[in-house]
Amino acid sequence: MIDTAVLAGLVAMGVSSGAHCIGMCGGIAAALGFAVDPQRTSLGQRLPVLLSYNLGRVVSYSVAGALVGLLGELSRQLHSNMMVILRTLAAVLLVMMAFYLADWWRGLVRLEKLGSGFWRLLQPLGSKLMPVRTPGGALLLGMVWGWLPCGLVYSALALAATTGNPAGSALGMAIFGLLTIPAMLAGGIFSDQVKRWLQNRTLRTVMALLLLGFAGWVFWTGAGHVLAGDHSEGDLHCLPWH
Amino acid sequence: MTTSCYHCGLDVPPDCHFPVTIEGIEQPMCCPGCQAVAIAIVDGGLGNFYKYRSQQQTRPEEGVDNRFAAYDLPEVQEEFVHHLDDGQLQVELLVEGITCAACSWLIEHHLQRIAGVSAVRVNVTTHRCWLSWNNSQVPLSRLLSALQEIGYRARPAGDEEVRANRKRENTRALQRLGVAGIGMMQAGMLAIALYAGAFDGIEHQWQQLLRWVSLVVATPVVLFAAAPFFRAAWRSLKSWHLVMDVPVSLAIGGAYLASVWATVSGSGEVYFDSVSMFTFFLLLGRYLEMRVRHRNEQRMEGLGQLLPPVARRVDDQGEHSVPVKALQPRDFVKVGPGDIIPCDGVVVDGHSNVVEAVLTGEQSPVEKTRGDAVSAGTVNSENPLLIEVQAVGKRTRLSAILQLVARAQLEKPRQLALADRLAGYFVGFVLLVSAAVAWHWYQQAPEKALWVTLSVLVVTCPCALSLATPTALAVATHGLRQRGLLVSRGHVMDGLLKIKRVVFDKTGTLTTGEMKVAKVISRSGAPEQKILAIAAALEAGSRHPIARAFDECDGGLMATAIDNRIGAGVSGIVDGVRYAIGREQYITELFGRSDELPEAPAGGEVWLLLASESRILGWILLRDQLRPDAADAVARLQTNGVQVELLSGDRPVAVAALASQLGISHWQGGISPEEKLAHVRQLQTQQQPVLMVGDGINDVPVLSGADVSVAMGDAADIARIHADSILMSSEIGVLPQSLTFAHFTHRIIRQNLGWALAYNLLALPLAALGLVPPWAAAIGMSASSLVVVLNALRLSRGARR
Repeated sequence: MIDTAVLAGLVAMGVSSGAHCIGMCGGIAAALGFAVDPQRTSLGQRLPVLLSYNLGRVVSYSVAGALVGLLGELSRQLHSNMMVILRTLAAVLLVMMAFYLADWWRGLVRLEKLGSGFWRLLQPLGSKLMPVRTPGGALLLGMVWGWLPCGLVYSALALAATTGNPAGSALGMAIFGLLTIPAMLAGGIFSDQVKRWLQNRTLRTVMALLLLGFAGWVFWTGAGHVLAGDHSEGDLHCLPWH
Repeated sequence: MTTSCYHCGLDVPPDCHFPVTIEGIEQPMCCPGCQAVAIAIVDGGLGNFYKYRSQQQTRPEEGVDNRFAAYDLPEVQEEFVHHLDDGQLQVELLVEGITCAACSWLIEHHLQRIAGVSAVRVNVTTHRCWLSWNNSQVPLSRLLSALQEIGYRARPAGDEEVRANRKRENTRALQRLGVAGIGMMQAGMLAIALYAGAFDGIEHQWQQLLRWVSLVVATPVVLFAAAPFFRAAWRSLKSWHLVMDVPVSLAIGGAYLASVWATVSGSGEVYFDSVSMFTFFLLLGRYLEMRVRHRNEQRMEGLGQLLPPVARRVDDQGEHSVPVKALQPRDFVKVGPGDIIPCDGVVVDGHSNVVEAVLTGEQSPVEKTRGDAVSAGTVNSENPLLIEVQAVGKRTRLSAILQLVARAQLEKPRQLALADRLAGYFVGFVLLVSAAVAWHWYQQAPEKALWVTLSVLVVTCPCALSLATPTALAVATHGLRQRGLLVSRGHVMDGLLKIKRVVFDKTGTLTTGEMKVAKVISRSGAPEQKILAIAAALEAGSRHPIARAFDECDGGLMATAIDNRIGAGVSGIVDGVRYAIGREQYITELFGRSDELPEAPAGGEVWLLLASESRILGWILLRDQLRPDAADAVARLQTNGVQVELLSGDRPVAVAALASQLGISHWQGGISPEEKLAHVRQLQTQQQPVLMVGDGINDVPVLSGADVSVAMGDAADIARIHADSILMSSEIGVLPQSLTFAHFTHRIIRQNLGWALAYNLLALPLAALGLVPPWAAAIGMSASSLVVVLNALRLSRGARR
């Protein structure tokens, strides 16, 4: 359903998300934790809310994944070469993400600006849900805030779309989303201390290099073969349990 | 200098413009994401979040110079500024926010550019900055705010060092915990994929990928997060001691290396998830323990941190800020609502509520008005108060309390030493057993030898054992303080357990010292009300305890020409008639008239005679009040199987009356301190450990003979009190509570030790038989430590009740 390179790319993005999200989205998690009750901020009280919030986010990612997967499927039916184009696009976005992460070039900001137009439609919905005090409310809020303009999510979506089927894309995005949870939770619980560590430039550079490597892999297994004149579908390994 | 994103703290690139208006100020953001998040947070009504972020983005703030102005005062500088021979000044600063060599470069260059600064030296590891400057060219406050401008907060180094260290320790621990936590979750999820894959017959290539990612994730956990274990283990080995870090290090290091080998060679099993989980839970246990320790230390922190550095002094020229150290007795200071009172003193103007929790453990505020005493460190909660200074610094009650607490901390309770030794032996035993297990399995099934040994090392880690006692004791000592019993000796917790008798030394420990009208006997047909009204008018001007007894009897009469003879009586003119009230002898001398005493006064009772020039009006009996909870406390002690005794130097009649009111059957009156001590000694030889309650000032020899002594002193006398513990809240009910609490603590410690031992004894054979996989061992070990810590925390919940 998903080939190794795409899945590995999504896993890598999920793992490296900490360096990107903790400053931005970690703030949400911390603010949510703060909202539970400023006086009583014990872990036990904050954890259910934080977990639900993050699950809500993953749900939205999966829905978005299903949508782009559908687009992928449609375009594949349109023309067989569309998959090569999609993979190339995904690889380009991965490279841009890597550059964004390392703070070398922030071209992805433009994409985020586009996304923030869409977000402005959704945002009032989120405001109505605040302040969050129950896990149920946090789940809903997470589902809304999952649509925040975010370059990382867009890159992940581009990558997920290359599976060319809604279920695979949704699964890929779910895996990506789940892997972002640890960093986000840490952002909500330890906030500033961890934040400082993860925003460390060296760490971000390492993560960026990792993403660049995966971008190369995604490109090579998808489009590189075409360029090299090999017209088989690349080595599309399937997840062993599917 | 680039601006940093108000939301996430990263640099904002010059070409970006994503502002958000927060609390009326436009703040820069680095990207649309942060912009969206910030808008969402503010619109969601969580704008306060930015205000209360624990470490705000350090940025130049308005009024910075003002904030540091106090450091320019010579009295304040005296403490930490050195005068060099060439007229320059030198200071050692503690700088927050130094993380690397670049910081020191930045600080040195930034400060050296300021005219008047002659030398700057920064030590990155100790976060110290030595600064010499010419005071006539630039004040210290300017230099401190210059540091603030580039994002470093600086304070003069002194006893602050301790606090800074603690903060650093805390941050470091959190970082390690964070790394281990993230690593654990990532490695855990990857492991789930691996296990799931193993069932479905995963492709080798795919398995290898997951293993390599796990390796990347687990490496910082082992190298960074687990570093303290390795370091402590190495230290302990060098000094020929065995601590639990030794097996822990062996387990973490061994499992990690074996997993690395398995990954590189593409064979065998990987334990990256177990390693991360083990490290995380161990660190979590340590972190919780450290937090408890830090919180205790903070409570006994030096004066400087509890008190504000600057006070508002009021004199003829108005109001101005002066350093607290410069305050003198008889100065007047103004304390605003919400401020900490900087000195001991007396309220001369204003009316407010003051929270005295730092002294008594009592959170509800105490009303303070003109004439009431207030203490340094307590918090003025409502209205401004004008206070006449009586004592500052080391002479305050707060200082005395802190010294007592510090002494208690230095004395290591016996139980702790025992637990340390026990854990040491246990570690040795575990290492021997592990070696035997490893050898055995290597003979029988070499492929299993490694993980079985790992499991043994991990599962038997005696962290629970070594956490059991100290955590409980730390929580318990604080619990007693919250109840109002300040423990100033290490043996108190232990001693409270054995107490069979509570002996009250002095009747004063059971009474409030507040006189009340108990009886009125009219001699000339004058109505009782009139007698009391005249007495109240005569006594109205005095604050003597006897005079205050009439506060409730005010009948609207006014006295003039009042003449107060201390220790004898008062005379004055009410409605044109001259009256006098006082001792019989005083009336006789004044008016040449007398009357027979109605009955002999018992202890704590006084008969007053009221007369006019022409006749005797009547007698008024005043009686010292029992403490409201005294009878209840005595009854509760007795039902708990503790005998209560009253020993007093007062006349036996008085003591008997008091004892019968309280239901105390063992009492002795009219006995000397030597006799009291002998009595206590005798009780002790009969295996009846004694808790003695006294005032801690006049009865020190007797108190020191008891197994545990409790002083019921007024907080005002705290500096002079000598006792093992001090009842700060003056509620006797705390005594039975404390005894129960000590037994509760003991029970918790026993449960903890019992649990830890039982767990280890059960887990060891199972692991040695190869029935416990390493990940289960990590969970088991961590759970057993958590059980112990959480069990100890039950004490703090018990204390609040």
